[in-house]
Amino acid sequence: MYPFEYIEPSTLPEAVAALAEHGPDAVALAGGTDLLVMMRADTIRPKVVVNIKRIPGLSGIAATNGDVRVGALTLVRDIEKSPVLRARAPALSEAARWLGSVQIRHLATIGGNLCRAAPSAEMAPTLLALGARLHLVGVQGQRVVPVEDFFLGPGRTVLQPGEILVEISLDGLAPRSGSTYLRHSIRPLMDLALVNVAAYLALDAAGTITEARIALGAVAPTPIRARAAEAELCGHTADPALFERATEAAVAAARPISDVRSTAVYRSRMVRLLTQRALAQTLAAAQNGHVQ
Amino acid sequence: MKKYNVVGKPLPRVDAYSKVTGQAKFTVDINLPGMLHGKILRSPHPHARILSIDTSAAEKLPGVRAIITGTDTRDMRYAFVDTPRYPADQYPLAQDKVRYIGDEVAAVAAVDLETAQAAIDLIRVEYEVLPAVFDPYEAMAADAPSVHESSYSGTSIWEEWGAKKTDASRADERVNNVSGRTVITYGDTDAAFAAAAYVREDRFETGSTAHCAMEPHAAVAHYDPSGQMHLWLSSMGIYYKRYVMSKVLKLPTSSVHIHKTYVGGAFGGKMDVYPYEICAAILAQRTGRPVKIELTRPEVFTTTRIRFPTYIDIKTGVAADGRILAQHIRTVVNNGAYRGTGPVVIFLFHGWTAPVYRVENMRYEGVSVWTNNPVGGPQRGHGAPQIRFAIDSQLDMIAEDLGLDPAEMMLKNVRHIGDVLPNGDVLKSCGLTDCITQAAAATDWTKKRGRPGSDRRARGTGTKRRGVGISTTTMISGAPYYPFASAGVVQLHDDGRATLLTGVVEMGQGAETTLAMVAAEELGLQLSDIRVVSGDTEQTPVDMGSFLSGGALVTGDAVRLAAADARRQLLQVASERLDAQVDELDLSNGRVCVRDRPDRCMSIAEVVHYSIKESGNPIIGRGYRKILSASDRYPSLAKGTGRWTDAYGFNAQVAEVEVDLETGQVQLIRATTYHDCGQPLNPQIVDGQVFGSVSTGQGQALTEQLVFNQGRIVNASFQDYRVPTALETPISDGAAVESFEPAGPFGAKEVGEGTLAQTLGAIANAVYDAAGVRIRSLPITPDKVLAALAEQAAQRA
Amino acid sequence: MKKLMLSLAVNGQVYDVAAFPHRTLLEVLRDDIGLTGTKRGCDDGDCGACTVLLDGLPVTSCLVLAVDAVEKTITTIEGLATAGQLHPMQQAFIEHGALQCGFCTPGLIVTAKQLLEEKPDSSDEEIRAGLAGNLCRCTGYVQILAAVAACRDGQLAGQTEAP
Ligand SMILES: Cc1cc2nc3c(=O)[nH]c(=O)nc-3n(C[C@H](O)[C@H](O)[C@H](O)COP(=O)(O)OP(=O)(O)OC[C@H]3O[C@@H](n4cnc5c(N)ncnc54)[C@H](O)[C@@H]3O)c2cc1C
Ligand code: FES
Ligand code: FES
Repeated sequence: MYPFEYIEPSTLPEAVAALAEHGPDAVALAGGTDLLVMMRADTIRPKVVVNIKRIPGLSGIAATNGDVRVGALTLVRDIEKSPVLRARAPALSEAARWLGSVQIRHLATIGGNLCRAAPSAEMAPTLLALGARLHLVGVQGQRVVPVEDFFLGPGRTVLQPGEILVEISLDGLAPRSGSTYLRHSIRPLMDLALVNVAAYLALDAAGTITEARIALGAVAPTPIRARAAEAELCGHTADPALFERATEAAVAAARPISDVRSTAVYRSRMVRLLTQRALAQTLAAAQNGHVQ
Repeated sequence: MKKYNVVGKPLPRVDAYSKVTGQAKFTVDINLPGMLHGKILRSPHPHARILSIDTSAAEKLPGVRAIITGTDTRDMRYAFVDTPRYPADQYPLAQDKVRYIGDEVAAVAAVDLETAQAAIDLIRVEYEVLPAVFDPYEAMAADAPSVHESSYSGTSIWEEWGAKKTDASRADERVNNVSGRTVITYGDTDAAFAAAAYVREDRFETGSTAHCAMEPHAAVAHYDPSGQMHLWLSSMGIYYKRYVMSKVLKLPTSSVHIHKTYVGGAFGGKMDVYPYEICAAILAQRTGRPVKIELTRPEVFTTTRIRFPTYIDIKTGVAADGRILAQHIRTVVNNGAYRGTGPVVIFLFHGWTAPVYRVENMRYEGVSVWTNNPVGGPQRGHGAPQIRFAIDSQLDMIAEDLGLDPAEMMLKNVRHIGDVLPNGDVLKSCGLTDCITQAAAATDWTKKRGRPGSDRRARGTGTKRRGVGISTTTMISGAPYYPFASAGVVQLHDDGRATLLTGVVEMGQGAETTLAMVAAEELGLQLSDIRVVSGDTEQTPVDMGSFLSGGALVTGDAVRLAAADARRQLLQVASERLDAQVDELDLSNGRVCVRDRPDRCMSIAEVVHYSIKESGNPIIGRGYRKILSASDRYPSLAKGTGRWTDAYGFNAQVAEVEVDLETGQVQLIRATTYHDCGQPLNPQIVDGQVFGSVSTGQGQALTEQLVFNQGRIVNASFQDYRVPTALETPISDGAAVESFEPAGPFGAKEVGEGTLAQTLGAIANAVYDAAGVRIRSLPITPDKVLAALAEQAAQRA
Repeated sequence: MKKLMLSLAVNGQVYDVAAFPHRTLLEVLRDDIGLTGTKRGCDDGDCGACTVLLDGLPVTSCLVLAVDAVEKTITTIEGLATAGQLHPMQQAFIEHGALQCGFCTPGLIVTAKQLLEEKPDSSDEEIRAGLAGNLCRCTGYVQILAAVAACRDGQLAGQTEAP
């Protein structure tokens, strides 16, 4: 690893100022599980590293009324184990379970996973499906961005130099709703997802689908919403033909490539399979109404 | 089986305590006072001419102590294979050309790693990029770029050890990038194919895999002013490395001292002498300070040898009852940029064929071809995984075509005790039949597999299908190579315990433990009575190294003979003192007694005391053994003639897999391995060898593959090169079959290296049994399985 | 760039080290403090050989800057045996032959020890998943899994003495 200057701010304004001052030469350090790997491979060579982990108040999981707020510096391991999330957004805890090894999850943060903006990012599809909102703080102050507007491309986000992701909020989860996260990789664990899929369905009392969100990862430059598939579902009652049409639409939304991990054809087939399974499981969860 | 006191017991390893407490010192753990850190500048091009190298800016950097380039190694040509026919083709640092991405260009020693890296960044190399070739068939075309054009004349290092000066390098082979060629024929293949009831031809392909020893390669070198070169290396055999290092550095062999370190796994990848090791030594000479070079994991993946990617064509003719009458096997190996062991592996493909099934009419042709890929080398089984996968996949297909059970077809063809192989090797032990029948019995083979010829597609209706497959393999127990012998010394102490001196390198195989057990057995001591000093060229006697699977048989026998020599002296002394004939004495539990006279006993401690007081003899036993007892020749790599080992290990495995028809994913559920390693010296260690081999075989069958793009390995990390994790551990069971190898110590022979090869074929055959799709190229990845299933569905529609 | 003075509490002892900020905890443990029991297999978080406990939780020390370990407690393989008595997990590895080359062993033992401390009744499946971040190329894991299960079940034969 190439040497750098190290800054360890103890407040958010200090951190933002330090990052803003050094612009593209500076990076924020959270868990470091992406950052240090990239620095060692020399794909990035920052001159200044700003450790944001010693700033109080950036981690933790809190539930108020219907809303859940997750600090950006919350460890993926804590998301995996959180009783609040297991009850309110089980798909998020489920996603956390698949990220790296237990050693990595004790370092990795949810914010780092999003800010790294990998197409296969473990936490992204579920947050897309749950309609999460991201709270960013920069020199200009705070702004809130829906997670679906956050990613611009592999490794690229809307974060401005100096901006820090501080919190992720999940609000408006319907009473009769369910969510699912599924992923496929060659090794069952310790392997990046070849495809990951998350789904969210909300039902009304009659069982009609009132809200649907389907998110796909690793099949486009960023994690994406399959909006055409969602449109197929909304306002209808679930049945196999409906799910099949939605699945087709999801497959059409995916733009997978062939790379060192898999082929486009294979990824496409996995989108179909995982979407089918995710819809069925999400429907069952929603019917049981396990998000209150 | 014969009863032993120590041998055959699952005793804890002698190196375990230091390893579970973090005290065991590996090469990477060696830190010497004043030590410098070295880094290598490597080629970014697969093929290029070096026009100039400018090190001036780097030299000015504070903290840089030495920089060397090709000019500093001009007279240092070397290679694992260096014979008149195959002269060495490699230099520690590139001369005129670089031939693959990662080829060594320059080396730096500096006060710390950061400075060394900064210096590397400042070295300016001007390249003229040349056309490169990556595919062995394309490389053989007349107009293909030549990877090596110079003729490398001169004396090869093995000539002084008897390599015959024969037809010097053949010009025609050069032109076509052919780096080695083996042709072996016996019987009359034409006539036998004509007489065959059924003939089948198939092509198989195996990808390239990585060793993945967990300890990265490292070297520490320190040259002391008296002219002694001290080395700490990641090695599999210190005497071999010492010899090559001394030749390259032009030092007397005894001026090179390789110190003991534990080696963190090797699997073939730490056998060869590598440029970084020689560079560390040269840099130590230049600076007068210790120099350490530790490779990064990506460097280990790209520059320390890979499994040879191989194309295998097999034509087999069988009688109606399944007896193999004739085989024509052609192999083409992508050798990469340097020969490494290319000419050896094409010889070995046949070597792993002849001892398993008796085929009287054979034509085998192997070619290894230089390309601009990373270099191939030995890897656990050295060729056996590739060829056994191909042969047993095809056998499975033939059995199905003929309506036979593949296990029964194997039994019709396997070799037996007493068989003489085409090269003259004799099987004095051979448990193949037992391995197959016991593996089949333990897995309920006949029931699981179903009636031969029955419709496999009828296996269940769910999306997950189970299937079983079987495969077999063999492995040698040592083959003649420098230093051609192993020796051992056993020194008794006046407390009645003993120290064993052995040159073996403990790299995980358990040699320190099993050898100590051999010594303990012979001396009537307990394992805890033996201290082991190992793997140091100044402190321990010569050893063949642990890369030809001769550890148990050859080194084990040398140690047994050393202990026997000490025992002989001990009994001699005791017989004087106890006033009895030597043959009336029993030695056990640390005591010498006159037979049936418990009142006339002496402890070993008392005997040693007495011996020292009487004659001064402290009792030191020595023993030695030639690798190949009855031959002074190398086997011919080109023609396959000449004996090359004293015993073969065998095994058979039944694999049970589950294929997910929706994802194409294959899961190894259970691997049942029955093996013939002669008498197992330590069953817990033998089990460990088998479990480890199964796991690596599982990875190489299903998930492991180096991916190349224009000569670059694009997945040189554990992230994307997928070795199995604990989560995928199958049920691994089986046992050793009853066997006794007369040539080995207490009946032991090789174990471990061979047990990987049959896993690949067993899994491939099980996949076919489960899903009805035949995957002929390794690894069997989910996308291949799904594509094959789709094709199958299309054909049926 | 200048070195930072770091106070690191390792195995109950405080070490004061001067280190550049880019040095990882793994490097400082091995090169500056001299505790080489923690191994480097990849430097990328993939192999687990460098696992140490940071405030009691297993992390890959190759992905932790040393400066980030200040004010935390660090436990390495060297800190497991107390007063010459092996930790039961170490004893289990010896009894079950759960090591060969031994290079992965420190990381595995540290990870497995914490796994059972966190959940003493971990199922076999949980043990497998919990160890997935520790690669071992030699053993094929069979004897490692047996050792951890034996430790969980309190089935150890004895105490191995230092040779
Ligand atoms: C062995 C291994 C296995 C892995 N497996 C997986 C896996 O299965 N799935 C997966 O998705 N990922 C995986 N990863 C990648 C990585 O662990 C995750 O992406 C992790 O969540 C990143 O979080 P971090 O806190 O470590 O981020 P860091 O490495 O600290 O940061 C990543 C990037 O985000 C920026 N950043 C971090 N936090 C903030 C913030 N709050 N505000 C602004 N910018 C910020 C950093 O500047 C940096 O550019 C793996 C990594 C390793 C080493
Ligand atoms: S060295 Fe840290 S995980 Fe491999
Ligand atoms: S014992 Fe060698 S890697 Fe695990």
